[in-house]
Formats: sequence, C-alpha cells, structure tokens
Amino acid sequence: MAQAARFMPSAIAGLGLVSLVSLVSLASCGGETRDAREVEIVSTLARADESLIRTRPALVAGKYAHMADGPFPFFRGTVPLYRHDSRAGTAAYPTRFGMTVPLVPSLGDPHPENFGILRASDGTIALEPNDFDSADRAPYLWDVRRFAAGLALAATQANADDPAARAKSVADRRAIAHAGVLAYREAVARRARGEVLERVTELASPVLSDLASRAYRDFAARRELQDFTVTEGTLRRFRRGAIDPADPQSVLADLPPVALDALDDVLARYRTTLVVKPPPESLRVLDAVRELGSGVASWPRVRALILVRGPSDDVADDLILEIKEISDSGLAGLYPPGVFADDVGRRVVTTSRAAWARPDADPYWGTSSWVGFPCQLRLESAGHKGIRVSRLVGSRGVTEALQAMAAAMGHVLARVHTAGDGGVELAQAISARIAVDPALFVEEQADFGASYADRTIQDHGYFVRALTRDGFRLGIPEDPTDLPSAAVRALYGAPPPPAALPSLP
Amino acid sequence: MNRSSLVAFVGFTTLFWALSPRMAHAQVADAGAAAPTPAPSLPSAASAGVPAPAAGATATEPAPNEPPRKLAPGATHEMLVRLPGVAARPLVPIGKAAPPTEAATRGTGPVRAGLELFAQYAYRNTTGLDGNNRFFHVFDVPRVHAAVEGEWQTVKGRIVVEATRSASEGSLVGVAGDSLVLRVREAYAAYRPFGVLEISGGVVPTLTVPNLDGTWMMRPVAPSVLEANGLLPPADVGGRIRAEIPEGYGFVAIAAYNGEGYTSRELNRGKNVEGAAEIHPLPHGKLAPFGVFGSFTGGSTGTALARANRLVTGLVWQGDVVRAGAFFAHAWGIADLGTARALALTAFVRVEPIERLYLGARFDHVVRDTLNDPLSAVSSVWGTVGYRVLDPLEAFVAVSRNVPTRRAEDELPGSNFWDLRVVGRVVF
Repeated sequence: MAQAARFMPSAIAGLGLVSLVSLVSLASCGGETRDAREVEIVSTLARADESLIRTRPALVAGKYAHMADGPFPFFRGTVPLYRHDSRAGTAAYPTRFGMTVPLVPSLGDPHPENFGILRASDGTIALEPNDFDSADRAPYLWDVRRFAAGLALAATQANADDPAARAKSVADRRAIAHAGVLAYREAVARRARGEVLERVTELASPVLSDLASRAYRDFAARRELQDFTVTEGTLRRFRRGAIDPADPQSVLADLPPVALDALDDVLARYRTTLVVKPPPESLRVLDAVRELGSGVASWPRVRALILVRGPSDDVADDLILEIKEISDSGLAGLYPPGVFADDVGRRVVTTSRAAWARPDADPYWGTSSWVGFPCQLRLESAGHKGIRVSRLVGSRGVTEALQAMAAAMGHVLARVHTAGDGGVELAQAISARIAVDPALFVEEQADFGASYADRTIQDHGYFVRALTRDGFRLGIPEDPTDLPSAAVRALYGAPPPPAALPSLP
Repeated sequence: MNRSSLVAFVGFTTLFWALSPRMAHAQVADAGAAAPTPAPSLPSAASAGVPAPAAGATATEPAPNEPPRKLAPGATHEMLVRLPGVAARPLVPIGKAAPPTEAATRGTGPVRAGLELFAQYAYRNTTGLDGNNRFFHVFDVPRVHAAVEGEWQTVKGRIVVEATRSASEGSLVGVAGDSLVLRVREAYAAYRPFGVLEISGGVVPTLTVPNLDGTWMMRPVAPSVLEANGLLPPADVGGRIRAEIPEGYGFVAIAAYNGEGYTSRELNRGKNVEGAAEIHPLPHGKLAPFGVFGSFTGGSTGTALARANRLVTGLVWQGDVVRAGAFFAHAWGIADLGTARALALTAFVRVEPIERLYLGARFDHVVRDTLNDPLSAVSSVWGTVGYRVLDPLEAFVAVSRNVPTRRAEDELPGSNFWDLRVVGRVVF
C-alpha cells in the first residue's frame, strides 16, 4: 500500500506535466493558419542558416532584407530551398534525362549573376563563372535545371524600367531558358566528339559587349582604387564608412587588430595556391578593412578588402584583394560518396581552375585561412564585371539579347561539366542520356525553368510575408549563449540596420 | 500539436489512467509474495518468474546447469541482467523489445559502464539512371557508444555518448578535418515511484523507433525504416512516463519532446507528444511473444511549426528463437511541408535456429509522397546471417537491395543500389 501511495501522486504529477506541455503546445500553434509552402520555405531556410542566425543575427538580417528586395536576390539566396525542392519528394519534377553517375564538375548555382568577365594573366578577358561558393560534384541536371530557372527568372525581372518590355520578356522567359539549354546541349555534343570548347572571348551580343566595354574601361582606369581608397601623400589607404550614397548597406569599417595582424600569414599561404605566383613583396599589406553589405547568399560571411603593395611602391599600381569566408557548398553530402575535396579551400581551388577555360582566368584567385576561417581571395577589380539583372534593360533586355546571353552561358556551363582529363567521357555520358530524345531534353528543361521561375516569384512573396511575421530570425529562438566571443564579434562587425522590407507582393 | 494530436493524446492518457489502479494492486501483490523486497524498483527474480541461480554459484559465473537465459513472460530486461550469479550474456527478452542502446545494460552493480561498437566494411554498387554502375567501398564505425548507468533505490541515471563525424554529412567544415567526435545520445534521470512505472527526463529514447529496433534486434544490419527515412528520431529531449502492464501484458507510455530529435536544438514553441502501447493479449502461454503495437506522435518541426504527425501500428512476435514484426506508418507532414503525406511499411524476421546463429530478413517500402503522381517510392530488402562468436561479440554479413521508382531516383540520386556489408558488433 505504501508503494501504491507513492505511485499515485507521481503518476498524477507526470501526467499533469505532459498534459501541461500538450496544452501549451496546442496554444502556441494559435488559430492563425499559414500556407504550407510558406511554412516549408521558412523552415528550410531557418534550418540552413541556423548557425548564422544564432551567431551573426545582424548580418543575416541584412541578407534577408536584401533577398526580400526582389525575386532574383531571393533566388540567389535560396540554394537550400532548391536543394530541398529537388530532394524532398514533395514536389514532382519528373525528368526523362536524369543521370546519377558519373557526377560532373558542377558550379552548383549557375544563375546569370554568377557569370562575368575575368581578366587572365595575359590581359585578355573572357566570360567565365565567377562564383564557386556552391561548386562541387553533382549530376549534370542539377546545374542545367538551376541554370534554366535562373535564366527564366532573369527574364521576368529584366526591363524594370519599361512595363511593355517587361511584359515581353516575361512572356518569353521559357524561350530564353530554351536558348541556354539548347546551347548547352550543342556544346556537350561537340565535346563528346572530342572537340575543345572555346574560351568565350567573342563578346559581341548586347549584354556581353556591354560587359566587355565597361570592363576594359574600368580595368584601364583602376576604378576600384577611386571607389574604395584615398591617397594621402605617398600613401594609399581605404576609405571608411558608406561607400556609395545610393547603397547605405555597403560599408567599409576597421578590422580588429587581431585580424589585421594575421593578414601577412594569410597572404603567404594564399600565394602558394596561385597558378602564377607574384613576388612576395607585392603582397605586402598596406591597409585592410571589413567589407559589409556585399553579395547575397554570402552576405553574412566575413569579407574584407586588403590593399597590397603591388608590383612597385608606386601608389598607382597598388592592388586590392577581396578576402571572403567560404563554407560548404550547397550540394554538400547530397550525392554519394558526398565528399569530393579534402577541405573547403581545395574544393574552391580545384573547381574554379577546372571550370575556367584557363586556370589563370583570374590569376589572383586563391585560398587561405584567416583567424580560423577558411577563405577565398581574389582580385577586387572594377573591371571584373558580373552580369546583373538590373542592367538587362533597353537593347540588353530584348529577347534576342537575352537569348544570346543565355547561349553564351550555356556554352560555358557545358565546358565546365566536361572539363578535365575525363571530360570527353563525361560529355559522351551526358550526350548518351540526352540522346534519348534531344529535342525533348531542351523542352523539358525550358519548361522546368519557367515553372521554377514562376514558383520563385510566388515563393518570394511568401518569404516577405514570413519576414514580416517572424522577423529576421525566421523564428530561431534567441539565446544569449549563442553569441561568439568579443573578438569574433568584432570581426563580424556592426552592419547598418537592414533595409526596410518591401510591401507584400 | 493539432486537434487530432490532442485527441490521440487524450486517448492514450485515458488508457494509461485506466490501467494505473491495476498496476498498483498488482505490484502490491508482488511485493507481498516476495517479501522482503529490498528495492521496489527491482522486483526479485522469483517474482519475475526467472529461475534462481543454483546454490553455490559465484557472483560472476553461471551455474553449470543453468538453462538458456531467456526472459520469462512479464519479466523486464533489467530484472534479468542484474541477477546475482549470472554472467553477462546476450539477452533475448521474450514479449518485449530489447533496449534501444545496450551499452552498460548487461553489467551488475549500482554503477555500470559499458560500450557498444559496430565496425563494418561496406561495398555499395550504385546503378545510375542510364544504367551506368559505380562502386564505392568504405570501412566505417556506424555506432560507437559508451555508457554509464547508475541506480540507487528508485532513482536511475543513464548517459550514452556516441561518436559521430564532426561535420554534417558531406560537409568539409568539421573539427580537425572531419574527425569522429562524441555527442550525447542519451542522458536522462529516471524515477521509479512504483515497480512498473518509470518517469524519466532528459535526452530520452523515444517510444516507437526503439520498439522497432528492439523487436528485430538486428540494429547492426540497418536502422528502422522510421529512423532511416527521417520520419521519427530514436531519441529526443523531453520526458516520458512508461508503465509495464503486469504479468507481461505489455506497456503503455506517453512522452513529450522538443520534436527536433536528439541531434538538433529546439526550434519552435510546439512540443511533440508521443503515446505508445504494446499489448500482449496472451502473455502466459506459447503466444506470449505475440503483441500488437500502436503509437501516435503529434507534433511539429522547424521554426514555422510544420506539422509532423506519425501514426504507427504493427504486429510483433518477440520470441527467443523467432523475432518478427510488421509495421505500417502513416506520416502527415514531411520535410517541413505540413501538407505532405507519406507511408512506410516494414516487415522483418530474425531467427536463431541454432544457438549463436542468426538469420534475418527485412522488407521496407516507403511511399515518399502519396498526393502527387508519378509514384515516388523506395523499396528495400535485406538478407543477413549473423553469428555470436563470443558472448559480447557478434558478426553479420548482410546484403541489401534498394529499388526506387523513377521519380524517387530523380529525387534521390544514388538510391538505386545493392550493398554488401560485413559488420562486427561488440557490446558490454
């Protein structure tokens, strides 16, 4: 009886506790219903960014505010959602052209704004991929579909200043994606026959000629020195504060001393990863600043600009290097065996060198580590022009111009997928898959691109609504113990308050 | 938790409550028959129906004519492993599932330490959509557990740490490369106010996944269909109340968790509630191993409270020679999409036709999306032979075949494969 007497209150207490938890849980759900897709987007992004939200919430707020600015920035920041959609089994995107193996060298996120002009060590310029944050090994269709979706979405966002032209490019979004995929298919077929896919130096179409002309102009003028630095006597140093009055989020700020002191070692390690190694004295650090408000997906990452001596002591030939924290690719672990590089730096170096038509497409592109962060360094040059959807206006926004741009990028993507010693075999494997029905292959990918672009526009609306409702933490609970040490917080910096959210689409 | 979850929870609570008086009376009777009872949480061997050790047996050596050590109907695993004079041996609990993690469950004394290790070589041959084949082979340690368990009177504590890769799957950012590091798999305090009732809190084993694993008792070969497909975790942070129905009729249990599993932090205010019961209708005869299992988990996942409800029902045969089960699971809410539906079926059998030799087979079928065409499903089949080389050492050779539908293969590249694994398991 004594045991029974002990049992009853314990059981009552236990059941009471579980009941209380259940009721609180039920109450917390509230009566407000949310669209399931909105919930899916929020949960997916919050899960992907959880560590960043917990440790650098102000930087993530800037990223999300930028993503809320429009469907294309949203698309750039949502590789995790694309991965989720591809994988979750909750949305049917059937294909007749899937190929699990062999995996190909992949860009991971080949949307139009990840292509641009790079200047090689001999001074020649070409259209190349310029972002390897998500580059890894993947089935070819991962890239092709992301590419098609990016093209179609870019078409829907082109001609922002002209409603009639916008309506035309929206209507032609599928045709623009079609042109890109068609060029991809043709280039892969050529490669499968053993041909070498050319470096894209023919930059005659409106979009590419605009890129090239501005690149030549700014390379010659060293525009980046004007934008970011000032000279004081015989010394050059970075400006501090907001750089562009039209973009208050773009700020240069002081680095903490510990990060500044580490830069000499950073650059010494970086130099060893370069194809063409400059003299060590050319990499002597003159100044460095934290760069805030750059990129989209990588907005919360640590990024800085380093002013180095360059070939001589003349302030006119100083160089600016951008150093950026890098992390896992968006495809990490997705395809067996899941790991294709020894570390993040090697992933970026190997994928970039293989992706370019020549390994010194940007001779200053290398990797290192900085106060514990794996990082990538590249030349910060105003001449390295990237494609920007906002510039797809006027003659550059007409369907033919967009198709020409898409075709050039399709060619480059095919070259990336079939790069390296085994490239011809990769091309033959892809071609064999496409050969099931070559015309249908292009149609299917164009359909997917248009469909996913439309979905992205809808998803952007959900995202803005979710930010309005959940805030920039996307519901991740606050915990003071998540914040890093003061030294690391100093490196993260203090960004300006995020831009205001747009009104709900 | 939505309305259906609440209804299910209330149902389980009612069942639990209805059984409570009976438990109390039964335990009082047991306690009287076995007086004096030193610790109410540990019923005596006689009361559990387990043969007493032979006279003169030492604390560590079994009696010469000791019968095969199978749990009698109604006996709990803990009852057997702590019998004085019985050496640690692999256990086959009759009429119940084996513990979800077995490290430190086989020793004696108030504080026990143990380990469980799976070491394997795996060869996998993957077929691509175009018929290309690729193979990959790897040595691995899919389970490394170290555990400490202590007990004093009616209070128990247990900690299990497990090794895992420091970087998440495929990540290149980890600790010292991608080293194996330790994390907590279980860490809970338990209180037994009454012999059949245990209240525990901390990082606790959940109710459903451990039941599947513990019924098949072939965890080195494969995790349960629910765990492998991310439908339910094997452990979570929360609390649970579990009551053994006296005389081997089974158990009922309820629990509340964060809902993100033991590997993640809580992301929302919603809490998952799980209720489970296993009923053995004929616990005193040859049909004692036969049972009916049912569980319902009502909950959410992610910061936006995506629904994640699971209903699992099944039939089990938890015998000493034959252990088998057939389970059906219906999932509402998959991968953060609350409107998605999925189904999972699993059927498995483990036979020990002669002592030390195991034969096992299993079939899983998972429909990943029941709402959209074409069908996205994956079927898997395993066949395995195992041998208990020494008491704490088992070895398995397992072959499996995974066959996705076309859509599933698009979504899960690399899911069309067969593999061969050689697994060694040591547990103390």
